[in-house]
Amino acid sequence: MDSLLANQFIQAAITVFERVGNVSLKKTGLEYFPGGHKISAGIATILGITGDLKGQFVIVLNEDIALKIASAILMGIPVTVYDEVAESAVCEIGNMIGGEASRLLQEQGHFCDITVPSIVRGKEMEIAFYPVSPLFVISFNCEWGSVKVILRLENKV
Amino acid sequence: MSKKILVVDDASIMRLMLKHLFENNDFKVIEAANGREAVELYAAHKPDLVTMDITMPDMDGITAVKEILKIDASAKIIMCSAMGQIDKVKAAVMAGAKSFLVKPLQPDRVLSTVKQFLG
Repeated sequence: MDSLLANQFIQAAITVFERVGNVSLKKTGLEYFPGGHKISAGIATILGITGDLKGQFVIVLNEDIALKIASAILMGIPVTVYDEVAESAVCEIGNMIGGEASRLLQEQGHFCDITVPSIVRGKEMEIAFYPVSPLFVISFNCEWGSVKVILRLENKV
Repeated sequence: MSKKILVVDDASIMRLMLKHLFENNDFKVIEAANGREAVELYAAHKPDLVTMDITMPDMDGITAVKEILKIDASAKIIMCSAMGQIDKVKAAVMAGAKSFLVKPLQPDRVLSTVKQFLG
């Protein structure tokens, strides 16, 4: 998988966190799993990539960050309970990162759409991808905590 | 008399954000969670302006813009979408949207755009 494609999602995540919460997202790790990988998650929003590129990307975070994202989107209104509003915020941050990544990919000639997000939440949950294909796992840290972006593309391998 | 804005977005947090923003600036707000609901509410309430997401279940925002303009050719519709690719912007403008704001939404920018069309 072309790491230039992964870079668009890295840049998109950094840009969106900056715009949503004036939060500086710092990349702390980039792992590549050519044979696929299972991902542990507390909360994850999963979005499909369609068009010139096909695959999925996943944003993995925890409840505390979900509440902070919700509060930031609501212009500072405190959100203290993980409810439908916080869940909607997690989906929306996925949409925003996907939208920004799509815009950046289009500038490079890749025309992509992002599907409506779905969300999973649980303790000791693992996300697996089938059919097995290469994955990028990008780790970030910020003042709100840690965030991961997982990118799986079926082509451009 | 307060101007009425129809906020259309499938994400409850975005409807809540825009509702707070507009109500705190003396606008009345009605909400729809998809394009089909938006068309029905537009016909029933004739709002002064619409903010419209693009990717939504049931009926997407671009189709909803076209349907609303069939009801009222002078409808003022501002797209508010995370999908800011040039082809999406072109499609929205071709459908009849007056402006296009890319999420994450900046409250000041949203208000200035709305006021530009509502005077």
